[in-house]
Amino acid sequence: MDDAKFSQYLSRFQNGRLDRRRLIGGAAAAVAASALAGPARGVMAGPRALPSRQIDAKTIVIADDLRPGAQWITLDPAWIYEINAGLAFVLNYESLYDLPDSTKPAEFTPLLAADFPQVSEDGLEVTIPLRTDIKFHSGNAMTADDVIFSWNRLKNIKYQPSFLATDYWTSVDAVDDHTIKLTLPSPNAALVSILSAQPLAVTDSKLLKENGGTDAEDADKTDTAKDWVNKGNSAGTGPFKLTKWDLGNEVVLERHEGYWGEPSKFDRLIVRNIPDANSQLQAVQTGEADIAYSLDPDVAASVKEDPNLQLISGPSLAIEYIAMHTQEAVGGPLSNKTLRQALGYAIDYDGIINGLMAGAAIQPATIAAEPLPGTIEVQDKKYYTDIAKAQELFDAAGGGPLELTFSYGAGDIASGGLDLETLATKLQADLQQIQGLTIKLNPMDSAQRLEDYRASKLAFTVGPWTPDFPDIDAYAGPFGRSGTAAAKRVGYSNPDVDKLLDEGLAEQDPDKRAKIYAEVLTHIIEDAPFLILYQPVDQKPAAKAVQDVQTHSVYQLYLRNAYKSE
Amino acid sequence: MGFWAFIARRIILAFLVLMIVSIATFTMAHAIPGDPISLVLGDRQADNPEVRAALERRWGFDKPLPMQYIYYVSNLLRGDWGESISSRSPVADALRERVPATAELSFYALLFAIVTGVPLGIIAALNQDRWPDHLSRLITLIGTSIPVFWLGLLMLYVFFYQLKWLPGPGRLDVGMDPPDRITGMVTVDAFLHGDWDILRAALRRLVLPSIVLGSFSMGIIARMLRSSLLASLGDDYVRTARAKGLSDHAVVINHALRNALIPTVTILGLTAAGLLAGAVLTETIFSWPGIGSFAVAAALKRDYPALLGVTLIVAVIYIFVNLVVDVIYGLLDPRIRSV
Repeated sequence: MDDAKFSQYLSRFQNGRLDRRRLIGGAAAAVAASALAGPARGVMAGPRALPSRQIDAKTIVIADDLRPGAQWITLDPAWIYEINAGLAFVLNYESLYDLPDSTKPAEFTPLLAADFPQVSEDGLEVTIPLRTDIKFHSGNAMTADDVIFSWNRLKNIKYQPSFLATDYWTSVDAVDDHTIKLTLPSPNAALVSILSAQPLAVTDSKLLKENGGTDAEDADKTDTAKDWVNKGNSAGTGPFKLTKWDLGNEVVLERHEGYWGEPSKFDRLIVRNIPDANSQLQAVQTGEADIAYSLDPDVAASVKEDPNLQLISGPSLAIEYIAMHTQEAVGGPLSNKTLRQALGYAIDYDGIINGLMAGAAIQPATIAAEPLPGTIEVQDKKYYTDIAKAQELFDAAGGGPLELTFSYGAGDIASGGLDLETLATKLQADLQQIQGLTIKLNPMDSAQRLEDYRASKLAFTVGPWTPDFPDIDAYAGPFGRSGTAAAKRVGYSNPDVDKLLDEGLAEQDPDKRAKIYAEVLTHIIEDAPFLILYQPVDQKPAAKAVQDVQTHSVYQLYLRNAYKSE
Repeated sequence: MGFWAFIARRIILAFLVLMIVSIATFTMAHAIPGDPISLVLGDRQADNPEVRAALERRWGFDKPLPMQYIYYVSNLLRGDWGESISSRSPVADALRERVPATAELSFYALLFAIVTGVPLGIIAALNQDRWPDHLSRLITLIGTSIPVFWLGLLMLYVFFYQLKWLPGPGRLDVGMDPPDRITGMVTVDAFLHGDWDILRAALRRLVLPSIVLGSFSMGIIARMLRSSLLASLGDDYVRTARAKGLSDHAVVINHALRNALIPTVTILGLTAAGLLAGAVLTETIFSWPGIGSFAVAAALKRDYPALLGVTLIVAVIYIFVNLVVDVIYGLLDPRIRSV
């Protein structure tokens, strides 16, 4: 448009010859029409009418938060480290071993492996036979080379889960097409559990290479297969394959015809993006979804009363813990073990579990989730609420007046969906039952708190823990072993614990192993660098028609046997 | 001044503004404590120097800050917006999906605000201090004072959960694929493809979030229009127009309203940009895959590439909206153009 035309246009507009009234009227009518189209139809269809297309009986819809940077990032095994996405991942990709029922955390079954590993006398050489009848979704047959490619790729991409491929063995070789051999640096009784971890799932090496995948040393710079997977592709062996990855709206997995194992009884899994827990529940109540991933503990009771709903529940592997620095330079007075124990007896565990968590949690004895081996043996040693005892220990530790600063991530959500602010206030009130003790709350920026805690700079804080694989060593190791993860963050070091942990990892006999870990846990309870507040119970509201779905402490939901009754 | 010279000057200014915005965002984002790498690294790998080094290389954090900025800008000019740290995917892909979603929602919200706010303002002004005025003012008061999140939850509860008249959160029905992309705005694409099922589903899902997001702007527009219309109805030129024997309709619409619209358009420009900010809550409640929720996640996770990308896009939209407002000013009041 040149200047002359523009002026002309302008003058026409100013003289009112462009019909503004008609323009506005037209727009109004359009909006009114679209607004009315809905209600009219809904009313005519009767009160039970669903607002959208009914989900068919062969489709299971799960409502979860798919927003960016949250719990759904990718299904690429070398890049996955999110908890929620596990429920879809384990239908698409498979590892050598599986844990079908997480309430029996020692009962693994071979999945892509043909049998349990054969371990040499010294415990350092492990031979694993693979199934010979496995085909990937592409139709390619699975061989030992695929296993080695997948694990090398995981290692060389050098992302969060890469430790699974670097820390537990020094080399992995193909003995023949369907046998692999691992050489370990030290005996490892948790190996089967480690091999069940999702990032160690076996991928289709041929297909991935065709689509930008590589297991070369520089895979962290050159591998682009994640972007291909995120376009809705699959390189797995599971009963379902990813067909749509649209995190703004939904993720879709379709049943894979020609699955090597028992075929699934439903055709499609849809995970729908609904971030808010109450909206997820509404979606289940109105029939827009079958299962809601999250549940606000407050409304669990109303779900149980609803005749159209069921509550799928089971123990989780998460724990919420208090960390206290054991070294004088950072911990100050908390470096005194007696003071730490005093705090342990002042916390109102029942109030947290039955009040704040509305009963959807248990109190484990210490840093490991129950019922892992070793945890049941130490149950009688756990801390309980006894203010008199707390006061006695507090006075023995030097008494008051004493002020402690309690740091936590402002706006963070604690395990099991509890608002951390609420939990911190409750803890402050509990601990101040001790005469002479003042707790100063220090809400920190969430990112900053994590950074400070990891840099071992916080004296007194609270946080969640979820294990990398379901084995007692995934807790006792990081919490107990000097200089690793959580132990390092509180400067905790106990030579007896270190020695016991080495023994525990080497012990293949389950009963003896449980006894060793029970000893480790006893030490940690006594030394009290950590106080465990609760272990949440997972609760997922679902429509009555959903059958044979269990919560799973690692995969979140075990959907392999799921179906919907008509 | 000619129209094109005016536009050209604005575009040059826009580039300057964008540069300043990007430098400011870049500096501020890096000045906030909190390291994005330790946020994505799990407890297990937080202390592993090799993994940390690989990630720092991947996102260029191993280079000095000014170099990082220069790399960022040079990549940007080649159309590479970088990779989001928290979601490990290209920022450009995310923006390509999310900007149209927010734009679509904001458009319908603004449409709702205009088609309800303008008549409410006019009715109130013409019936000053009588019941239609009081009613209109009550509605606008509610619109501007109810918090978005509360109104959103209430509307969902009533119209979705209880009455089942309208669908729940989400942009499309369960299992429904969006139409092949043309603009990324579902209603537009569905219309262009002639896919009426999708269009209907998308419009039905837009009703509640548009009303919720637009309610504030509706209130502001109605109030602003009422007061400025009252002012211009008392002006001399309106008396002159009436004296000429023009009909009430002509006096109000052609004379008073046009002058009353100038301050309203200013406010409209501001609220249109403000819709983007208000969209954060609306998007959360209605599971809308827009830039609001993206921006919040990026800020919390110190996701610099995502944060920069979304800031630049919002800056571009602000500049564009301001430009449109200036042009409309010129159309409404020739005196402004000559300034």
